[in-house]
Parts: sequence; structure tokens; C-alpha cells
Amino acid sequence: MTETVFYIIAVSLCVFAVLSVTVKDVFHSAVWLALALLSVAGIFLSLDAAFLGVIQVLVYVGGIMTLFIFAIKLTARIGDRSIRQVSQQSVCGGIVSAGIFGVFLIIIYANQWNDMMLPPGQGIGLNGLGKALLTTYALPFEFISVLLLAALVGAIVIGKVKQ
Amino acid sequence: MNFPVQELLKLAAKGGFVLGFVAVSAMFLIWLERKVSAWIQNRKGPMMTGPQGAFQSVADTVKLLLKENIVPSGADFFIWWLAPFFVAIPAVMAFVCMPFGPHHIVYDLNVGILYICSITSVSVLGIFMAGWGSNNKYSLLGGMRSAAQIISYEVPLLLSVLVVVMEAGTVSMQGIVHAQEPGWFILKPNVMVAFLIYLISATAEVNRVPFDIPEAESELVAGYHTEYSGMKFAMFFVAEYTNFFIISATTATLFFGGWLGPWAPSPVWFLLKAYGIVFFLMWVRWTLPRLRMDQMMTFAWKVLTPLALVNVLVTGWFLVRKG
Amino acid sequence: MIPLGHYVLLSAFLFCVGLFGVLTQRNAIRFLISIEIMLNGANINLVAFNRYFGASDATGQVFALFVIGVAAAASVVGLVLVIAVYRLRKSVFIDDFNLLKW
Repeated sequence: MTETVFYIIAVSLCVFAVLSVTVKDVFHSAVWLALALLSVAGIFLSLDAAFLGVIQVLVYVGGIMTLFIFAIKLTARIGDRSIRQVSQQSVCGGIVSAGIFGVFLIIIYANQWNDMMLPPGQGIGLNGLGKALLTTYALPFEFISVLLLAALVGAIVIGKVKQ
Repeated sequence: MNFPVQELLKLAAKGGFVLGFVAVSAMFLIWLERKVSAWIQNRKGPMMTGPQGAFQSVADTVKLLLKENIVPSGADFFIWWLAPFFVAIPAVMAFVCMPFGPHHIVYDLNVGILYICSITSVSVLGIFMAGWGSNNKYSLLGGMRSAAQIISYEVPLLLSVLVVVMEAGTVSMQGIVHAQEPGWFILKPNVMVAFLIYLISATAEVNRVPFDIPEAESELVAGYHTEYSGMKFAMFFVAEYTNFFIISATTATLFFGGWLGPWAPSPVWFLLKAYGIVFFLMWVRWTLPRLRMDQMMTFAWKVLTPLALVNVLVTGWFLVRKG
Repeated sequence: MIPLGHYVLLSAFLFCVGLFGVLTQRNAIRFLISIEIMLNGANINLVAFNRYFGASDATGQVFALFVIGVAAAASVVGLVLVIAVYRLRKSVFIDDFNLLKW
């Protein structure tokens, strides 16, 4: 039964992602992206990474999608729907993406990951993740905070309206 | 997370109960709001439909169902149609982790309280979609203001929840309630500060007065749900009152001991505490004036966030000193 | 029981859909949306391998957490740049940003 739910979420995730890159209107694209991100959170839950799934919803859907929506609103123009959204090299792009997907398929079948089943247990859990974050990975953790601070300050500086 | 079929059927039954509770609770809250506001304003409120106007909510629901469904012209139909779902579905989903009693919870996720905070932040999208899809400048303004308000107040909200999580040592809702068996968290001074911050931020999250600029009746017509009528408006309304109940129930669980209490069944205590906070917030609504948008944002970023950060620091220091 | 290969297949598909978007979109904001899809595909891969191989080690999940953080920072800066360029050139289509072309 859990497998059925996973396959439903996975298929809908693929559908949302494809819709996101193909619809004509950019705001619809953002809405499909939000649904895709929610589905990814569901996939994380099925992998026993509950904390990561919750953080995905909080940061991606709650934060980054709001950013996208504000940016779309600030750069919207009338008549955008009639302008061609996809470049003239869409066929080449399609061939390249399909080629790389083919390479991935070859790698997956060569390594026989299709036979590998879930090991028992609950995975690392929240306690282990917290400990790892503050002991083994304390340095990248600090770097991330500096990076986010830099992004914040940079965004404010670039985004200011020049008087 | 692997479930046998029997387990899943039990979960589905609990989910059905939650849906029923949400519907009844929303109707009860709407009636309660009208009665409380009437009592504060020295009048009587709904009295005609049943004893003390008890069936007023039923009458309102029937009226909304029978109303004509008007689609605004020039509206982006897909976005406009999808928006009420993005607002109503997270409100119901948050009940998955709501602990009504020691075994009365749909599923005790080990990241319970964080799940509730993250699910309620999905409604930002719905509000903005409602504002954008309506092709109406009042709606768009209301939608943008609401989105800015909600994401600003999420920071002090999560920081005050962090204080409770630090005190409890666990993120799961049942774990937090069990950690309050020696004594409610509200009795500790640092958690009292966290309670005030949480209450203010949560009121701003659900767009209640004094933070209801996005749907201000006297300023923005009705803000982001101006162009909705009939059942869609009912979905927004139910979602708003359900969110209101969720933050009250979460406050009761995090700070006042949830379902802990002597000699009465646990769900009774939980509902008593949750509705006590509901009553308090309604009292606040009908007493205080509305904040201006810039006052609201200044308060979030320049007062609440530094205070919440200092509070986390102080809590950490207390906990390290305790051992 | 879901074999690991299905998770990796899902992650590969998402990556390629994102790649298609990156290669073909003219609108700069849709370009950033496609990058988000690619990053999510990579995240699923990381967490799936962490769960199936080293379940006592949190490296995969920590890495995925950092990817989410870096993606947030990248989106912030990218979107602000798009808005700044829009103010200057009144267009978000990357075909119009051709001042440096020979």
C-alpha cells in the first residue's frame, strides 16, 4: 500500500515538473513548481527523512516560492503570453536532455540498483541528524550561515532603487 | 514508513474524524465569534435561529451554498480557481499532528510541531494566488501585503517554537506534552517570553486583528477574497477559522500542557485549553485597533526577531547551566 | 518494497526535465525555476542513497540540507539580478541581454 502511494506521488511529481517547464504562462509555471516541491517533500517522507521533508516545505514552498512570485509580479508585462517562451533550439535541447537521461538509464541498469531493497530500521533519525550537523559538519554549517548572510546583503544592495 | 493495510484503514478513519471535527469546529467558532463580539460590544448577537442563535452557522452555510458563483472577467481562471484549495487544504492537513489525548492523534510524526509550522506556511501561496488571479487591484494589494506579513512573522514564530523544543528535548507533539508532566512550560520565565512572542506571531500568521490589514474591511474592501462568492468564499472563511483554531490548539499544547489534566478525560482538557485561548484572542480582536502595514513590519523585524533570538540564547544558557 | 533504482530513476528524470528547461527557456525566471527542479532531483538522489546504503550515517541528509540552503541563496541573488536587469532593459527575456555580444 505504501508503494502505491509512493508511485502516485512520483508520477505526479514528474507530471508537475514537465508541466512547469512547458506551460506558456510564467505564473502557472511557478504554481506547478510549488506542487512539484510539495511532492518532493512527500518523497522525502517516504525515505524516512521527515525533518528534511518538513524543511523542504518550509524553505522551498514557504520561502523560495514567495520570492519567485514576488519577482514574477515585479517583472510581469502585458502581452507576455503571446511572446514565444521557448527558444528556437528546443529540439536540440530535447535531444541533449534525452541523451543524458539515456546515460543515466545505462548507469542505473549497469549497477543493478533495481534489485536493491530497503534495509530495515528507521534511518538516521532526527537526533543523529542534529548531532552530525553540529559535530562532524559544523564547519559547512557555519559557512552556510555566512553564505546566506552574504546573499541577503547582496540582494538588498542590488535590489535597491537607485535614487 | 511502511504500513500494513489495517493500519492504513485506522489512519483513514482518524482522518475522517478530523475532517468532521474541522467542519463542526469552524461552524462553532464562527458562532462563538459573533456571540463574543456581541457580548463585548454590549449587544446580543444572533438570537433568532434556534436558542441563542445556535443554528446561525448552519443558516450561513446554506446561504453560501446557494449563492451564485461569479467568476470575475479577465481573471486568470486556473489560478483563481486553485487558490481556495491552497488555502483550505493546509489548514486541514495540520490536524494530522494535533494531540487531542495520549492516544488520540492521527499520526505522531517525530517532527510534529515543525510539520504544523511548515504546513501553515503553504497558505502564503494560496493567498497570493487569490490576490493575483482576481484581476483586481484591491485583491492584489491585499495578497502581497498578506504574503509579506506572513513570511515576516514566521521568523519569530519558529524561534519561539525553538525555545519550547529546547526545553522539551523533542520535536514531536506527544513528546512535548509528556515533557510538561512535571510542570507546564509557561511557568518558566524564558518560555513565558516565548509564549508572548508566539502568540503575537501566530495572530499575525492567521491575519487576525490587530494584524488583519490584508483583509481589512474598511480599507481594502475584503482584501484578497474580494472576488470570491458562494462556496469558494466559504472555503476561505472555514480555512481562516480552522487556522485560528490550529494556532490556539498549538499554543495550548506547547505552553499549557496540551491534554494534561486531572480527573477528566484528556480530550476535554485539550479542548478547554484550546478554546480558552480562542476566547482570549477573540477578546483581543474586538478590543485593539488595527496596525498599519509599516508598523507591523517594523515590529516583526526590529522588535520580535531580536527578542526571540536573545530568548533562544538565554534558554540555551539556562539549559547548559542546569546540566 | 521500492527498489533503489526507482528513486534514482525519478531523480534522473527530474534532472533531465530541469536540464531541458535550462537549455531552452527564454524567460529568465523560468530558467531559475528549471534550476530549482534540477536541484530537487539531486536532493532526492542524495537522500535515497543515504537511506539505502549508509543508514547510520547522516551525510546524505546533511548534504541535501546544505543544497536546499545554497539553492535558497542562489534563488535570492538570481531573482534580484533579474529584477535589477528588468528595471534597466525592461525585459526578462535572455535573448534581449545581448549588449556584450560581438
